[in-house]
Amino acid sequence: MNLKELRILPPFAIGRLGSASEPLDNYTIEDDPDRPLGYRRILGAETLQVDPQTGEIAGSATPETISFKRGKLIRPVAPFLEVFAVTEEDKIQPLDLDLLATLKLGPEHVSWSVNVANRKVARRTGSEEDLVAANTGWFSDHNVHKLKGHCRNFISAEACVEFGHVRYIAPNKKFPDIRLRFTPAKGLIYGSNVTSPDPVIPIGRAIYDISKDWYGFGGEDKPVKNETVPPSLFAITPPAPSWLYDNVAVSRGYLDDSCDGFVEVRLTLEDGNELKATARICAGPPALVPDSLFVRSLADDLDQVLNGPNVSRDEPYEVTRDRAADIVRRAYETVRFMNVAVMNGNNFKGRSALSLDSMPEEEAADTERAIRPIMAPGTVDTFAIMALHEQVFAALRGGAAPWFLNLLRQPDEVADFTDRGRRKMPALMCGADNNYLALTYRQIDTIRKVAEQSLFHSKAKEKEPGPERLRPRNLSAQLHHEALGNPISTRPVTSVANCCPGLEVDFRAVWRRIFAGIVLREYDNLVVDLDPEVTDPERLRLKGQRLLRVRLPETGLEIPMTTPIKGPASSDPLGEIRMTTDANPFGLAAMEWSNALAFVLKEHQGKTVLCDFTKDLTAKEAERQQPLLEHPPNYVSYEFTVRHFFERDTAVISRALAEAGELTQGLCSPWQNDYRECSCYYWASARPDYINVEPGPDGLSRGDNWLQKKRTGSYVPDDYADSRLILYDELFDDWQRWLKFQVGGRDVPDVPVGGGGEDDS
Amino acid sequence: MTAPTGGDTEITTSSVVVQEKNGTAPVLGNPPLHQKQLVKRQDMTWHDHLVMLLQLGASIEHALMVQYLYAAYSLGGEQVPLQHQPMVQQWQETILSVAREEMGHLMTVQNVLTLLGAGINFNRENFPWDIRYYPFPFVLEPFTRGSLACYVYAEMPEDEAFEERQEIKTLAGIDSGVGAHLHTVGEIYSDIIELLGNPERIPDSAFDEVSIGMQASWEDWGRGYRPDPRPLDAEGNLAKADAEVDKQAQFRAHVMVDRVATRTQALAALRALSVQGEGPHGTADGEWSHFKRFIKIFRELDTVKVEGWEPARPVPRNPNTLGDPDAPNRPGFITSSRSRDWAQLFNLRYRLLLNFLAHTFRLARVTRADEPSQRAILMHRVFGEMYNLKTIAGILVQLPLHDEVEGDAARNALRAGPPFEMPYTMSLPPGEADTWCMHLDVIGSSGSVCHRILSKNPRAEDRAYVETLLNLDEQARQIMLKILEGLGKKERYWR
Repeated sequence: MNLKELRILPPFAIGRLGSASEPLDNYTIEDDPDRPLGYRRILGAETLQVDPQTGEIAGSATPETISFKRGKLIRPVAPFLEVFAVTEEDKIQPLDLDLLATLKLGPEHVSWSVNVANRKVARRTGSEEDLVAANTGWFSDHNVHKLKGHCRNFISAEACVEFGHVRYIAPNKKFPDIRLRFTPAKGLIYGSNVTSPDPVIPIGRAIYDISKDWYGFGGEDKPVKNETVPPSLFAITPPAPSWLYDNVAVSRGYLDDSCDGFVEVRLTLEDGNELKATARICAGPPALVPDSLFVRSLADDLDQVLNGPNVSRDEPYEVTRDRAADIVRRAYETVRFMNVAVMNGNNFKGRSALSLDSMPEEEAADTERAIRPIMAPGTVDTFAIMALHEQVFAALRGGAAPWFLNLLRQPDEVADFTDRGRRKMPALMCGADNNYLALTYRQIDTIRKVAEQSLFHSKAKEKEPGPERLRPRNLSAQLHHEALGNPISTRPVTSVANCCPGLEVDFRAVWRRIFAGIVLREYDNLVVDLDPEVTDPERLRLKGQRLLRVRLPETGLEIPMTTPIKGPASSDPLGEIRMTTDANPFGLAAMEWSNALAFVLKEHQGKTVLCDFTKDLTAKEAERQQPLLEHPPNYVSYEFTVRHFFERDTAVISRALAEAGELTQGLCSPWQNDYRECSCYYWASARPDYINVEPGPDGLSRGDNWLQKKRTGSYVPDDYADSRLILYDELFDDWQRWLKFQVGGRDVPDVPVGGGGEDDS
Repeated sequence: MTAPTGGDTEITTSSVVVQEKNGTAPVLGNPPLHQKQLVKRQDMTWHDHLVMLLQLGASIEHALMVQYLYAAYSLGGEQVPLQHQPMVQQWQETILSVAREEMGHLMTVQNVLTLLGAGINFNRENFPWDIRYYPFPFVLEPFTRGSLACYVYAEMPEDEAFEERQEIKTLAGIDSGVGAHLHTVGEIYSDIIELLGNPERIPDSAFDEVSIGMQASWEDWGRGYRPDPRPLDAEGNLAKADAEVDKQAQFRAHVMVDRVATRTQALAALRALSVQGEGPHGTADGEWSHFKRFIKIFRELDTVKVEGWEPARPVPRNPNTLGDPDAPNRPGFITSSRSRDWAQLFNLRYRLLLNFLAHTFRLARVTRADEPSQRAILMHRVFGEMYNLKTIAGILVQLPLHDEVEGDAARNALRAGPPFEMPYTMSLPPGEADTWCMHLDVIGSSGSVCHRILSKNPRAEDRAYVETLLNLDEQARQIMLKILEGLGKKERYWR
């Protein structure tokens, strides 16, 4: 037998941080047949037990219950990455001892290399000296290989951030497959070598040189040049969101131990030739709400890349219908963790909504729109709104045609801040562009297709769809491959996609190099760099200009990169105006890349498209979005090749699009900052807001704020300063204590280990 | 019965109705000369008469809405050729958009009733008071050329000449079985507007402007169904370049639920409803009136060769669950017990919808509008019940009317349909706790029917729906039990 290629599956695996010594057991989630609307059931699944001495899998077991913590410490999620071989017959099969033997090879002929990085600091300071990177080099043994992240701006060459470790699992008779395990870090925060001790950082982790850019970044002598969106996503002095302090944010010089990068495998054949394969890994926070999924996940965005913005007319009706119902289900799974009245911008307990955090408040800050509730204040209660969503879910399950297409927010309506625009679905939540969240085009088209077909569909023909088959060309099956031993939280379906900036990865970062030759900013259309191979003097002038439009040659489709910001006319409740500010005089918002470029990727990967850029903008002008004018044209046009999103014939996000560390570089530093600073209107099902919710004697919901220190059943609204809520330093100091897992909408209590109630490690 | 002839009016429907010619209004003096001649019963005041007309108007809106829904739900099925499916779907969307707007009309009429200090009305018929105005006898009919003619007629403008006018009248007369004794919706609104606009018959003191806070609003009930905001420039003028009429918006529902505090506002709201219904050319904003939308379908239906296929499923006229041999509409009796279970479930959810709706109006009198309340719970449940009706209707039109038909014949045999049977009463109990108990009773009855359906081996999709509905109802029940607890009561025995 001859092999053509190798694959590592899954091609993208999420590790999750935690300090407990024992990784989390394998689990999955499934619908509860007795309570179709209830929380998904968490089921233990086959868990591989790695012998710490030999690196072999000593056995496997299926846990009856899943314990997310050991004592007070969170168990890390440590994914396995399996190697598959593509045969000459174009079949895909696990690379195992038998297959190696038929090739007259053994496990020693397999080598691995892992390189990961944390570029969060480098992204902000703009200095490659701040890159924290770890590289194992090639290895074939079965020892633990630590991922030590070094950085030129650390106090010494030995100082490092530990990103966890990897291990080539020794195959044996019972578990003969070739696999590697990535065990992420503990979720520690590192700091700078300040003279007086930092209250959060022990001396052993004070490794960043305070004379370098990161410590004091944002201060008068270290100004911010290329701000992220949202801005100032890092630990600052004083410990509070910068907007409470006139937007002054001075960095404390903190780093975290999250990362992203590549795992490579190499098989040296008998003839000396080599086969290689690559996968991506990342390490992010735990999936703290393991029984709920977000309405738009990373899997939805990747699905759109793989299969396009439109659903095939050939897809069986039942498959599309089930996916549409699942979208609605995830919508109510998201809503139920939101105090809808507060998130709506209602006054609460006599306090003005102006003083509380919500999406309307966020929107008002960005656009200078007067803060007003989104829905009529008297109509919003979490139970009532959730029941309505559940009713929609029930109707779809019963075969009703979706009737709410007009109520779904289109991706180019995300900056419509009229009441009509704000009330579209999904409501009350923020998207990757910092505006209102829209589903992917493909999700919307899924619902549209069901609406069109259900009227003429006969239930008599109903068939259960089968699972996707793993084939070399079935990239969808590869992307969603469930490697043995991996919990569902390792998969993109558990990662939020309204990445502003994101949690596991900042998916916006993937699009920066989608047009070969230029580098765009992750959140808007500014050309921030050019590839070294670009030498044409005209093209070199594109740096500092803005991409205004993409035109597709065959179809003539013109795709604007911005959308108008609309708002209510204060003099006319039925009128709308273009919302402009001094900072945005044309009232334009950049479209999020994932949807804006969906139609570009559909048929133009590897092909050229025409891109229209501003011309001759000064640096000052380039700070603002610019309109595209035709008479006379205010733009210049160049052809650019659209890069392939995935590596050839695989579902691995192309290395040309993002190097190690670039998928996480826009995230908070440290990531714990995000849980305090970004409220639930970004990612309610991953960072819940409203928990322990139950009906009160008036039938309305009542419960706790997830960030409340003491559970009282009386929700404490978030104003970032209330000492009843967890504060920044408390989170930095002991995040595993404060960030409580939620199962069934309730806090999961810590279970003492042994007699001491402490961690077992 | 004699139709009014204009000018000096005649006695119309019964011997107790007398004419009141110009100058004979007993208390309020002479109406202006331009006024249309109105008649009323001698034993009623003009206020009372106006309230009666509004109550009839509400009934007519409700009845039309239900009939339109039935026709819309009948559309579709596998027999529709692929090339005609987009058109049939468009027809359904159009009829549903009209039905949604009728709901807005129904709510606006309730608002005017509230403004006048009168009770609301969610009944569908007010026999015999409605004889003079009812467009045509209430009948649930599938989408056919004949039923469509009835709808066109009901929404037809009084004076507009159009090619099919006579044909529509004839067809509608035949289909409804009342020949020439048809009425347009415009007739009753014309009388209401006339009377409401007469300050001598309806003085300013008849309007309770404070009642606006208790009225239904678009914010609560509109669900986004209205035209996009008008683009304005910085000076507040229409930005004309962007103000072109959106072609699709012509057919999109514009649900008008107007709150009214004054006579002027009430008149404006009712005139707007009237224009939306039977305006010959639609509204000034380019929206198509119901008449215009229906006549478009009527014409499209004529252009499509329908030999060998029907746009609608073979659902009966007036499907019902009343097994009594003396009951009317016997041919529509759903004899299939499996289908009848679903029909009963439909009726129970319809009843819940109406009860919840009526309850929201009552709670509006005692709750604040600026914070969530039980009214919000019920309001969303009203919409939830609409979704249930839509779902169950979709199931019913695929289930058999009779069980005995088998084999190939079963394929073309009559289907069941949503019966929309009114509950025996629309009265809410006077006390809050009893009202919540009543909701629990009906939810309990629905649960029993659900379990009966589950015991008869339903299709997988239907089972999934029923199980989800049971789960939803259990959640609702828990909330209602808490409310009862808050009121110091317990659930009563309901089986």
